[in-house]
Amino acid sequence: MNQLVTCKNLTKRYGSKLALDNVSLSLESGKIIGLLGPNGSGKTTLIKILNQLTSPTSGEVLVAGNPLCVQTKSLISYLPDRMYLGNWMQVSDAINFFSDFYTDFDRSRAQDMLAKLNIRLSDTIRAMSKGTKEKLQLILVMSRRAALYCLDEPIAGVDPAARDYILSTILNNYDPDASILISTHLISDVENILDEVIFIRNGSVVLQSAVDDLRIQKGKSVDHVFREVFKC
Amino acid sequence: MLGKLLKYDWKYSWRLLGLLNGALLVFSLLGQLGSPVLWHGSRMLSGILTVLYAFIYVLLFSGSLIATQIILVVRYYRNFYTDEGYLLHTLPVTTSEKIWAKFINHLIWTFINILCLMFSVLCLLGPAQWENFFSLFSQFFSSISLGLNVPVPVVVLAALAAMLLSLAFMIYSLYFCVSIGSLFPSHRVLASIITYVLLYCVIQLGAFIYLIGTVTTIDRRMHGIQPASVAVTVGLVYTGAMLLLLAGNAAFYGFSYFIAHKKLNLD
Amino acid sequence: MTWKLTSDRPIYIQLVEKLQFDIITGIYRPGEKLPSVRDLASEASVNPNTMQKALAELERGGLVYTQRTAGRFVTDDQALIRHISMELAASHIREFISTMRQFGMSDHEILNLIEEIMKEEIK
Repeated sequence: MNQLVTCKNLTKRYGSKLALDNVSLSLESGKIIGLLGPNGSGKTTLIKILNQLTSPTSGEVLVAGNPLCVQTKSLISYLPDRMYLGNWMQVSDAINFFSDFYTDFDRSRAQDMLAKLNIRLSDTIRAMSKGTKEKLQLILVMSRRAALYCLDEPIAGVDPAARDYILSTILNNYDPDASILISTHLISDVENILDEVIFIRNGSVVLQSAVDDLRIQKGKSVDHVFREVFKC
Repeated sequence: MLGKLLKYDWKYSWRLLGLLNGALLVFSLLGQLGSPVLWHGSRMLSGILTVLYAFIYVLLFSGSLIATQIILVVRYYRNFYTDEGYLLHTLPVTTSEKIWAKFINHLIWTFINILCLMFSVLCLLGPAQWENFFSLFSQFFSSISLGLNVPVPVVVLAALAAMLLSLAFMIYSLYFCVSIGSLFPSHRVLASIITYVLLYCVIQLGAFIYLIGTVTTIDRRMHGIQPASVAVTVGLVYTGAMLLLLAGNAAFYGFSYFIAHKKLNLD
Repeated sequence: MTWKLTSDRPIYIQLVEKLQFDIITGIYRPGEKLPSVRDLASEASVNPNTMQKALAELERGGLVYTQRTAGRFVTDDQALIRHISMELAASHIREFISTMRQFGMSDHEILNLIEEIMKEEIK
């Protein structure tokens, strides 16, 4: 199997707080992987390191065999847990922006998805509802043909209809050669679409396994296994 | 990639600053064209209108000067160190491209603003005064040229270079303050402003010391020295100041680069 | 068509069962072309990799086959379909009998009850 991401002895310290503690893991191509853990367990820190929004205190990360650099950024499509588009932009500005900076951006795919939601190119982001902004951002991120998608809490705090839309958008745009890393604490909502799970607690990886292996092994849903592992 | 970054910085600035500087231009033209009409009206009315005009003019004039700088430095702050940073810093562009794009856009708009301000002053003076206005400039340059025995173009070029470096110094010092502010866990804007105030005091003090130092040196050297070397001394002072500005620019740029590259602190 | 999936058993096994059921009951007819992996996955709201795995499993059993360019088809082999449907029926009956025995019923009682209920239904 193709090693897409390799983390070796990754440690991140914020002052005296240890956000990641000697994490080593690898992600293969062609998988949908759940990065699961309670709030504050280090999920976002790991994703921020992969996207070079923060640098590790020690350890090494390789993406497609290369250490993190400007080039690896063009391999990764990142959806943060917040709104990152300037609210002065119109939808058309945002689309032009993505197609200017990302050569793998599929403009017509994005426009089709926006048209289905009745989002007009002339709409200004400032005037959109929170839900529409989130959908726009997801559409832009999933319209890239990246090697790795990092989705940070994509379904936190959304209603069931929006959740279904988000999950189907992810699935419909997923290219089986790529990998998707989804961080979430809402496991029952996503576990049916995952190939693999990584459990993370207090900055350490406690388990990495294929989802179906876990179900056969324990005879339980991933959600149940998670509740057992993270029992307070 | 620099060009693409610049394109969106320009697009953002144009919406706000194009409007602001445009308003200043239109208002100045209006004053110039409207003034004959104004003076034919009643004394009372024209008096009130003149006061009103002057008030709005001063507001627009100083407003555009300050707003240009504030809008551009806020753009830098928002793009680099708030939620928008999650987009900017995951683009496949280098840190230096990001800073240079902001700087070039900032410099261009500062020049546009200066040109608009000059144009508005010309409008206010009226065509009759234009000749005097320009001769003031040429007199200034030719007298320096004469005093130092240097050709006029060299003086003009030196002045332009000094202006460019000083503007760059101002812009990079603003970015430096924002970068310092970003290191704080909260109240980052406040931290940036305080840094700016402190930095401003330090720079003023530094400039003062430099001036006193050089003036006393010149004073000491002037005794029994031929007039020709006055030019040399002024040249030395000028070169020294330029080198200091250059070093300051490099330091501010380097620091801003370091923070954005290695110490990125997005909450 | 709805896909009811539970999370406590491997998803691909449930997909295999569901597709088998659809072929036996004639929702997909013998020799008919199946929708693409992507379409099936999106219909079931599962990962295309998992759907791929389920189809590969069915292919191993011979119930579907791949034509290199045209896609995936249900087998023409009616006997095989019949055979699998018998197997499935047998396994359901086995499960049923074991439950009835747990209820404390004798084999004779079970057969009688079945006959009785079937007669009732005919009326």
